[in-house]
Amino acid sequence: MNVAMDRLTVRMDPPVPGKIPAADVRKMRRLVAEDPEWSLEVVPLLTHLCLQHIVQNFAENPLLDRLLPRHRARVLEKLPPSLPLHVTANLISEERYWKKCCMERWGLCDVTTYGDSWKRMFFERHLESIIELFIPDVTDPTTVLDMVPLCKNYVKRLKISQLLPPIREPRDIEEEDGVDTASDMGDDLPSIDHFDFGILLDKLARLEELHLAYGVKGCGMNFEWNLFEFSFRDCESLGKALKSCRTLKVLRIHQSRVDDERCRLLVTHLLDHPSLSELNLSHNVIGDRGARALAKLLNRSQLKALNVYDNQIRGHGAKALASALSKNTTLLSLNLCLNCVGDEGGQAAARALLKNGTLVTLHLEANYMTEPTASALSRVFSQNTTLRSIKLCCNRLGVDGGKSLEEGMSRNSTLLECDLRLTEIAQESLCSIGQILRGNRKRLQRRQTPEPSSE
Amino acid sequence: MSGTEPGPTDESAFPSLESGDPAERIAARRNRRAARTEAKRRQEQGDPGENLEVQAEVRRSLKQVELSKQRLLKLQTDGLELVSNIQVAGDTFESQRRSELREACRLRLQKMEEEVKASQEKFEEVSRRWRTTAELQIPQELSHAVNTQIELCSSIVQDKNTLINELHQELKSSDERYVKDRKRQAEMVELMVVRMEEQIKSLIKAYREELQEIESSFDEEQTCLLEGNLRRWEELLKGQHDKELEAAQERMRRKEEFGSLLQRHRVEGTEQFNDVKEQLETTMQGQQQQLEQNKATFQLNQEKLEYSLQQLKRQDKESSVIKSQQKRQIIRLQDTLNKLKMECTNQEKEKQKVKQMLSENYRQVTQQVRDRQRKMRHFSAVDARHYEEVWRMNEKEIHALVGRALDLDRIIHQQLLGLDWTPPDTPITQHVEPITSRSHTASSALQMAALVLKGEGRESAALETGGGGGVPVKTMKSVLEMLCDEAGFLVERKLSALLAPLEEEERRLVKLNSIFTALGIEHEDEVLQLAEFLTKFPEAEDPGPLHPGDVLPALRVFTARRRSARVPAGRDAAATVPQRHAPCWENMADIISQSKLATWNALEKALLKYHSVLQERSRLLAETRKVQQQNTELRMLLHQYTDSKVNAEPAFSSK
Repeated sequence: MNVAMDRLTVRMDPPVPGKIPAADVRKMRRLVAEDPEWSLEVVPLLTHLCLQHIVQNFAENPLLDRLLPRHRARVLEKLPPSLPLHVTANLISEERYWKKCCMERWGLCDVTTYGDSWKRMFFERHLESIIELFIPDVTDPTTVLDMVPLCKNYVKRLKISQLLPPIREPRDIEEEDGVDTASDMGDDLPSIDHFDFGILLDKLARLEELHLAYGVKGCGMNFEWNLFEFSFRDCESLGKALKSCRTLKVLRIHQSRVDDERCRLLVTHLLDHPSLSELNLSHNVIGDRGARALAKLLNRSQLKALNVYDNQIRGHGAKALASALSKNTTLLSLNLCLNCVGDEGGQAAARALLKNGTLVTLHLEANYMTEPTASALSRVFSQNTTLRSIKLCCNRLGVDGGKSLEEGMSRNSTLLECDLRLTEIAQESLCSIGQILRGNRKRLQRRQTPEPSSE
Repeated sequence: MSGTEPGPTDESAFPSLESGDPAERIAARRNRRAARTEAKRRQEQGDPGENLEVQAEVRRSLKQVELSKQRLLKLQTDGLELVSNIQVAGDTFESQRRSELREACRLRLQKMEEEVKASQEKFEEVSRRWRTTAELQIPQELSHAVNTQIELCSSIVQDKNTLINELHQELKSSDERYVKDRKRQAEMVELMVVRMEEQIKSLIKAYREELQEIESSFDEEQTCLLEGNLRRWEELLKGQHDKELEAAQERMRRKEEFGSLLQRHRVEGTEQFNDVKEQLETTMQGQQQQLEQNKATFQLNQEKLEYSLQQLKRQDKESSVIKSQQKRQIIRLQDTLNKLKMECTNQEKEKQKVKQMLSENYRQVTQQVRDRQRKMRHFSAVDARHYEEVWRMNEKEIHALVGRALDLDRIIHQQLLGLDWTPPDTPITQHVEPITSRSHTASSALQMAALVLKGEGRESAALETGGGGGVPVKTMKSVLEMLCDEAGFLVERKLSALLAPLEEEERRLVKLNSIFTALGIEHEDEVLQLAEFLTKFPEAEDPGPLHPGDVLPALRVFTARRRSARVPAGRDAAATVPQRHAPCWENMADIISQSKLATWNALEKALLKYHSVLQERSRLLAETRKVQQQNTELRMLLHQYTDSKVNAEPAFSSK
């Protein structure tokens, strides 16, 4: 707009409607001759006033698309972060506004973990907080469902760190194992279940990552076992929800006391999932049967990473996983850390690695493995050329086991990392293995000289 | 001003140029200046040999980067190991605890099973005893038994209680241990956090150091490069200055030169201008005068023209009258013309017919003439051949006759008279040319021309054959050459085109040949005649060299004369030849001279006499021979008669 015209119109009309003209007579005048410091500059432009008005009434009348780009930028700059989401969610894509919202709500934030998108960060965290504070049978599910149309285009990842159980009468609080009671009593105790993801997951069209923890954060001395209960019905509903969510890539259910039965139930729903590539079930209580189910899942999905850190898988479960691994061509990373695989499982895994040509990373820490596993793994070292990293800490491999590993390593040229801390291996073997690893790493670096090593 | 305010400069390490305080601004400027001089000094000190090190510097910086990268990588891995050590330890603890827990659980279960077994045994014993006690009748015994039972039961209960107590104890201890573990884990987490923080700090520090190192190396390198480049820049600048100075001097010099040149040109220009101006002024005056004259003549002419215009107008009127009259006359004449035209066309048609008829006649006549000519030619050729043949025959005959006469003469002389015979002095075998062989002479005409043209002196022959035409060879040559040049139209065009590549001499010769054939000159004499004619052509004037322009009329006259002269000449040829050859024939006839003839006559007479004598003698000889023969025959008859035995009878019989 022409600035001169603006000024003219300003002079014609009172600048702010509603103000009593008599209150400031000078604003009515076109020139104020007696004031030497008066200048046209102090008169606000009409555009500015209009924009100010738009900002003030944005909640009722959101005008943005019809503004000129520079005016739009000015409006966005001045919009308060407290505007209702149903107005702003699908209207404003300006990152600065959402940054303001995030900063206002959570203070210092790291946007890099959200793909450098403040809007995504805002909606993900907003939805997470809604779900984390959702109390079944108390909170209205519409609070969640109302958010869905606003945030379904922006939410890619949900990190639910707690799920509140329903509030129960004091008489219901029992010390017994909740699983049986829940499944036995059925309708008598409907309130044991947590938030039902079935109503949400199939609507979030862009969801790729889901992190769940069936538990309560910071319960302190109010600890009760049933606060950390992952009920069978929860499992059922979650499984169905996961099946309906076709875009999911990463699923993480940790610290939720997932046992064999629940694991099997989840796996039956996850079989042949079109996009799932990473499954993390760390810090649960999965045993051999659950491991067998996971082994089945391995060859009926596109899983690239499986993490069963800190579970109770024993030799049989490890064998099942190993036999699946020997036929698998997709899995890149397997974490069996802190289980009780033992030599039986370790040797099975080693045999599987002789056949497998895709696995890159293998974690076998703290698995009660001893010398036989070490000698089996030495064969793997000398024959397998795809494995890059293996971790064998906290296993009593012993001096002889260390020697056989050293021997195997002497014929290897591809392994880059081999963690052998606290394995009771002799210092000389450790030194020589470390040297070979360094040599391998240097060779790789030399091969990739154009691009700097990103280790 | 200089040292008055050390305070503000010390206080703010970097006095800003944008500062509000003027004193600070001054200080800032001073600092900047000092830094510049310092940098310059440093540069001057560290100047020599640094250019050579640039390459090495580059390498050093890259090496520095590589080194830093390696060091940071090592630091990172070390730090990671340090931090993850705690996790590994925690895992170990956890797995140990679990195994211990499992072991304890196993022990506990074992213990409990043993306990169960023991208590079961005791219970069975108690229950067994109940049966025995039930049979007891004596109260004391019964009470005793009951007491023992109670004891046993209490022992069982006590066992259980101790077990429970133990379990409680264990629970408590495990609770304590849990708390301890929790504490330890918390400590470990804290330691981990501390280590992580330390690591982060050290890494930050290391990164900073390395960054500084890299920066300093790059700075060094940059300063080196900068200095080198600056030096080169200055050198180049100096060179440029020198060049520019030279160029400026050159320019000045040339400017002066051009100035003087310009001055000269200007002076010359003005002079020229003045000259031209004067000239132009004079011409202008002349032209003005001419203009005046022209004007006067123009006026005169105008008057004249006006007068003539009036005249013309009058004439025009008259002529229009005349024109109308004439038009009428024209119409009349047109009519007559049309009539005449009609007549004319009629007549023309008639004439055409007549003409056609005449031309037909003419064609027939010409055809006849041509036929006659052809016949005549044919007959003449045939006659000539006949003539020649007759000639040859006669010649041969006469030759034979002469030969025979001579032979006879010789024989007569040698054999009859016994005299020495001398052959006659005229050649007997002289060949008499027939009149028709004229090609020989024609070629000799060309030959003569060739010889003349070659300049060979056959002057005598030319003069000899020229028949008194005293034309020297040089004149001949010039005449022939002129003829060749001027009478080129007589040569066929194609021939001249063909002759182009030949030599001058030959070309001339061939041209002359064709000219001669065109003029009908065939004989050497005719050539000479022509030459003579040409040299003497301008009959009135003195016989100088012939003008080329006169060649054509001369030729025309010559050919006309020849044409008139040719017909009798052709007829004379045949008549003159026998006259020419008559002495020859006479010669032939007189081959035997009169004296010889007289001798011959005398000899004839004598010989005739001798002949008659000889005839007599031969008759007598023949008579004698006949008599002798009769004699011999008679003798033979006689002899036969006498000699035969049977003379009588046979004699009679034979008779």
